[in-house]
Amino acid sequence: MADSPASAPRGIQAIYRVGLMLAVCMILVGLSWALLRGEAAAVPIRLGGLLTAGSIADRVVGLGILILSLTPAVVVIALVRSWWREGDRRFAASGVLVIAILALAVAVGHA
Amino acid sequence: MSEVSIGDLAALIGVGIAAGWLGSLVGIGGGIVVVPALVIALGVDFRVAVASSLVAVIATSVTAGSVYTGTGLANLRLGMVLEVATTIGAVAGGLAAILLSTRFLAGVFAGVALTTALYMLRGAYRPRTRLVEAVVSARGWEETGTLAGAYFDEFRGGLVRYRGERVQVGLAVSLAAGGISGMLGVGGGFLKVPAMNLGMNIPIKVASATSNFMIGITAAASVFVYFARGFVQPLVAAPLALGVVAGSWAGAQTAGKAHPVVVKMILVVTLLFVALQMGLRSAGVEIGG
Repeated sequence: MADSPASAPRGIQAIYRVGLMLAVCMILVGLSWALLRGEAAAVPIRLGGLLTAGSIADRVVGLGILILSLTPAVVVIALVRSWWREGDRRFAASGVLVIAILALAVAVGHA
Repeated sequence: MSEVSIGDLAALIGVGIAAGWLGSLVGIGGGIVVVPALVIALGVDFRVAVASSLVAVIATSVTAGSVYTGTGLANLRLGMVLEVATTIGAVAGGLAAILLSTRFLAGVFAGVALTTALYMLRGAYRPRTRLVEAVVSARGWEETGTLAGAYFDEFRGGLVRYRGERVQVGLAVSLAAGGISGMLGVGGGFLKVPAMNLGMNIPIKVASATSNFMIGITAAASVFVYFARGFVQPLVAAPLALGVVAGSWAGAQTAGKAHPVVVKMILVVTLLFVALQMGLRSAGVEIGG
């Protein structure tokens, strides 16, 4: 049985790093804004009101958290694509199933 | 915590660093450290603490993933197969949490954590992986179409080959771990790591790295529920996540150099802490919230 090409893990690693960097940058900008503008209050923010509710700092930090939360899901999608191209259909199917269950979980949570 | 001072931010980052380091090293999300620390020490609402903890779990997974996937330490195929059961369990667990009492759930949690700690303690000095003398590569890999792989162990100075066995054991425990994760808002890695290590014959470091990959997916599904219900406070969750990123990075850097027995012992101590915490909650001794 052949080993997997090294490019797939590197691609996944890149997704993790880009997601992490984007999230951290947005969080740092948002926290700095909150401290400089005196908007440092711990208030809840809803997913539906992410772009409209709260202060600007809340929205920027909230977007950073959203990017962080989406990163693992993007990794699953990338793995499915990679395994499908390699002909590793069984594991690609597992990934598709995970994505489907994630979508179901989100739907149940919002219900 | 309505107004967030610089001191509060420093405390949140400090809790995150401690949780991230431990979580990355032993393959858990750090939620068992984050939730009690936020509730007891910082007076944060319990559900906000759980939501913040889930963000920290994701941060741990993403940070460790950015390191482990490059080394080939995490077996992504193994993680994806087990994640099918974990996500099903997480959905079922979330629904069950509506019907069952918190004290009952805490009792189950304490029993499972204590049993697992004792089982890990018994097997801590019996490494099962086979050390291959020849050093083929300084990086690990997975085999296409199977649950097998290999990695270079810096501590042992050689290549370690492994092959996943008894997948049904891993799936069953992952289902339970997903259920507990959905019910209690933790990553569930404290169950999956010993299940992979002891039940599937996966080396502890591979199991920890694979668990880190898995808990991010599971927590991501859960955190959107809290987001939708307004339990995510960005100025609480974000500094915590930053601390976790720093702590996870430190943990991931040292994981390859740590002795497997030391890693296992850290996990055992963590599990005993969880058992004590949940046992107290089950007995009606509220630790906060």
